Amino acid sequence: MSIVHEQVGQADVFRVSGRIDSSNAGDLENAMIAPIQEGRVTNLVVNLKDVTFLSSAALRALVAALVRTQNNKPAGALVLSDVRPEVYEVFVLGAFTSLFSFFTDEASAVASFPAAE
Amino acid sequence: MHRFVLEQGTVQDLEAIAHFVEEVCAAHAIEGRTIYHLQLALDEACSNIFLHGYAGQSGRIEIEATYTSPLLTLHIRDWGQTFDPDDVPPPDLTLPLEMRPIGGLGIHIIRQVMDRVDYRFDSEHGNCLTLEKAV
Repeated sequence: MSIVHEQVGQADVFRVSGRIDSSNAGDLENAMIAPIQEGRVTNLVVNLKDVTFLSSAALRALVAALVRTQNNKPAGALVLSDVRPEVYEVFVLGAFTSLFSFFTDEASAVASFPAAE
Repeated sequence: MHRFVLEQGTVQDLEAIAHFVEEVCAAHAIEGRTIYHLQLALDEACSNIFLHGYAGQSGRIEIEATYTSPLLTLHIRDWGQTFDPDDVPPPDLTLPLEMRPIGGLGIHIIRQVMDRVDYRFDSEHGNCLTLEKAV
């Protein structure tokens, strides 16, 4: 798994690639949570375009980061983009689809956050 | 029969276990979503063994795969702490996010993608989890 973190407009984008399983889901969680805790990041887009496999460990990491953004003041959000059908199915199996907003591409996900005033 | 044995397996071996599933599927012309389902079920089962059965330490794990059309059967053996998936209640997916328990999600996923989940234990052969799916 590799993670590229970049600020794009009003969002912090995390582009993840490879496999997310029990061996590295904690690394993903830490990468997302550290900047939230430091107050530098409130709105997250997690781009899963190049993620070929994920397990329930990844779902838990994403939910942990989602809860952090929602507990921020002001509350932020975590949305997902570019989720492959076989990866999306894991969200369905875990009954996690209602927790996240899914966007077909990264630009739409970034645009879902309101522009700064 | 296909066999994959790790003397000192850890979660770092999950990718190699996924490759083993690919090899088994290639040998029997199993394609598409089924490969992902088998990889997912085995990943969740082995993650539970490494993280809970062996409590994060390394440990021996033996995986056997047999195919008798149309059934693909996986036997996963370990000598860690006993773990019966039947003892895990299904997760309450209607609970609010913060109140959902951490455990049980992997087993819940395994039960959905496999047709049969069976667990046995004896002191000689350790824990044996059998996962079966018509492919």
